[in-house]
Amino acid sequence: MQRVSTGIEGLDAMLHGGLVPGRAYVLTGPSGSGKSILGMHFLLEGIRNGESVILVSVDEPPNEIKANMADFGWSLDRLRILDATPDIRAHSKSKSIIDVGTTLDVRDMEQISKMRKSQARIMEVSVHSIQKMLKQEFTEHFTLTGKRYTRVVIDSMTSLKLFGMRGEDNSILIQSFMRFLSELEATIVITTDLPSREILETEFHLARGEVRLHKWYESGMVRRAVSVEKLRGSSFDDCYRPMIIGDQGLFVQADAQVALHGQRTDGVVEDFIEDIQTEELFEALEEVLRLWERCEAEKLNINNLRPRIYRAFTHWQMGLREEALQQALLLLEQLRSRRRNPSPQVVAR
Amino acid sequence: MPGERVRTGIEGLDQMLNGGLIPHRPYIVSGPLGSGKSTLCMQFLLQGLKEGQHGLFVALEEPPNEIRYNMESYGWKVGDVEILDANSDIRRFEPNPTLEISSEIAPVAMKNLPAKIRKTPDGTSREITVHSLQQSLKNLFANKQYDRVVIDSVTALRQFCMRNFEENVSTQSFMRFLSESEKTALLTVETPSNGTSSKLETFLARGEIRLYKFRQDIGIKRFISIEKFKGSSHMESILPMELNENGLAVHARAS
Repeated sequence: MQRVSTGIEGLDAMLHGGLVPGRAYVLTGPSGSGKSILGMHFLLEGIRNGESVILVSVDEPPNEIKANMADFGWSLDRLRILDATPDIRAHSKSKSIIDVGTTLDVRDMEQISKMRKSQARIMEVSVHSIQKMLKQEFTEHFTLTGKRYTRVVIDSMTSLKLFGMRGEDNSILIQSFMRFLSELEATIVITTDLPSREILETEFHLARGEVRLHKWYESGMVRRAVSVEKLRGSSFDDCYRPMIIGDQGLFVQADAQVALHGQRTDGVVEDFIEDIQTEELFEALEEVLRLWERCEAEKLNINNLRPRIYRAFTHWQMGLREEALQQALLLLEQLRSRRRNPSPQVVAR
Repeated sequence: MPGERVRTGIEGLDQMLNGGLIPHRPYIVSGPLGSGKSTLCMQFLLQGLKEGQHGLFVALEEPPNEIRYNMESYGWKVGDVEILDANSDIRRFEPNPTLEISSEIAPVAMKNLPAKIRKTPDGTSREITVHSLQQSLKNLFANKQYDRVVIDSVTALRQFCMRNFEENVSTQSFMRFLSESEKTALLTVETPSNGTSSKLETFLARGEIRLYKFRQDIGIKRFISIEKFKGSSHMESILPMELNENGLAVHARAS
């Protein structure tokens, strides 16, 4: 099957050719990491190939997007956009008319100059209305041009959840929304903030792949990286690769390594610290296993150390990295001394 | 009493399990996103085919056409694996939606799958609940001998199919149903990425195979362990595992 290019050469290389078409993907990262720009690269690549593409904007009004992207010298005129930013809410007590609007409109970027003003009838955005609009737009576009939309970007799921899913059973709603997107048979990119590590977010669970953007500070400079976390139906490059936002947009160096061990300063993304910790722990545990094998091969009596190895792995599993590391290091110490001094002895606690 | 074991299709894993799974019991395969749960399950079903057994894949997360494409990318001949599409349709938002609680779903051999995703029909919308799924499976099992069953995933089953049910009781009864049907079943459970253990399913299952995925700047490292295996001894250590173009491979140390 032919792959879908993201419009960024380095990222396509990481994806071993691009995205598998007709599926929904999540694009994650902290704010300011470049999610919207990447989404735009993806859409513009479609336009370059003569495809029909559409942006569903829940975060930013179209006029601002237009201004933001102008810096890169991109022409967004042929981009279709569904403006799903919610209106100002009417707070009058007696009668606030909230129109769960299917009057949301799709426009070419070309026609956009100013912000859409809230009308007398307030339009509220819901998953339902967006779904209905998209479906209409797909049908109309097909009738008018005979072409199907092949690329859709939804920016962002975080906002959609905040504004469009109040009081609803989230996981089932998202499941249904993702199903809806799948049935559109377009390649879909959904941007969302980084998930918390404890909660299973439905959209991650159901997405067919995840590209993650990273941003941190090193010696007072912003540094960026990109990684592929999951890609169903394809192998992929599983390393972090450096990324920059230049005057042409995003650039990914698919053949370069990210150095995580450079000078770290405050404000490093938590993710990275955790990764470094994991790595330390990981190396310690691997070393333990190696030594363990060697001790076994040398027929040393190490059975009484066994509980400690379990303890280390249990801590690790429960996410208690520091405790696990401590156990692992202790264990290393003991295994080493056992090899130096092979006579069986009682372990000092 | 050592009986016959069910081979998982992954040699190293069979070694860890002291020969394989004990037949006719449900087992949990747990792990974070992209850790290889579905791949492991498919290898389990393919091994069954090799031994002339029938296997059923119950898909609750992904449309069958995508699963087929994903698995064929390993170069596997999955055409004879039967797959049951238990994905719910798009929800309707009309005031009085016509919801069809469907228990009339039938499995399809992978080779007969349409290339495209099944579309939600205009009039009605099909919803799968834990109850309707159980009913369909019951009918299926009555008509055909399935030896191996995969439920992918219990996480989806809990999240999407138990809206009006009490989750724990329903899960318990579903597992009970599988045991009584005497299937050797693998049920996948997705764990959050910090690796905390899953809840009830693990407790109810007769064993748990846990997959780990850790990210480093040089790439992703994978591990596998047996958390629990009733009625058998098993290897207790966490072993490195590979997910490559041939699927999952576990290198069990010769002991």
